[in-house]
Amino acid sequence: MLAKNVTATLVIRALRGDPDSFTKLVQAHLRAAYSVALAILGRPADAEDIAQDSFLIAFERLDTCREPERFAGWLLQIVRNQARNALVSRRLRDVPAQENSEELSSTSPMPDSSTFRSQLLAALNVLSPVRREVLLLHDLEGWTHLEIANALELSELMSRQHLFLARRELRERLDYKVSEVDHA
Amino acid sequence: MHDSRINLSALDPAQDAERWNQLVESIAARAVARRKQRLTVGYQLLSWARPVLAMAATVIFVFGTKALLSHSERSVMAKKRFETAYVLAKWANNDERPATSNILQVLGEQNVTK
Repeated sequence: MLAKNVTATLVIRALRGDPDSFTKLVQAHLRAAYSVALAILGRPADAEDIAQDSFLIAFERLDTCREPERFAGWLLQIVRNQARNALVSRRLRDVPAQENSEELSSTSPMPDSSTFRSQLLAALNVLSPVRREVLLLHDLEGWTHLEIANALELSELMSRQHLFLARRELRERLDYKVSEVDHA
Repeated sequence: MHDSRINLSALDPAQDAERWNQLVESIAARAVARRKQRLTVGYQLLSWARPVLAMAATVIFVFGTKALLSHSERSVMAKKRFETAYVLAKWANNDERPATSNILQVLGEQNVTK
């Protein structure tokens, strides 16, 4: 994650129309946007679409970002809203694609169930959305608890607790198949 | 107690670095293009024209409806006046002597419509 003052500078330059600043802001925050969207939607393809749309919306409304140094939190709120809207639309449509339903359901027959990715997605789906967000932002995106707390408007303690419980639930679900890496 | 990081790299969207970089470039390019489009004179005019046209349509609708209603009210009043004049003329031509109640009824209706 970029330093707050660097982020603020990039936002201000982007407001002036500097193309490089747009690119740097996307580079720095796309994975986080994707992680939050994935935590809500549970489908990588949908999460990628929502992350893209959210960036375009955010850049159109960039002048309403009152605290440029808190761009990440502001952006992730847009991602969350977009993802929730998409989730509602998806439930209304109620037409799960074969590929996507595999990703969401751990009990459905999955021709691709042997792949670790499918197992991981199915196990993640059991967690609560906030635990998924914390887990993905911490263990996939590499954010610190302070960064997560700021972006998700939680306390650091809650972030730690969510992460602990999310990891425990995930390990139980995956029956310890997940490989572990040491703390960075 | 298991509290070490879980390896979620299987879900990492940036595993295919080339594709990921293309995605980043594409989002940034689209954002810049949209921003440039927003700054054009045409877009500015369009963005102003929409609310102005909506407001104009509302004003026309409100005043148009009011004018139509008042026009139909005027037509009804004119028709009643004509009927009264016709009845009075008929009495005069035929040299009739209508009952007081009839006169009051005809003229009373006219007074009511005033």
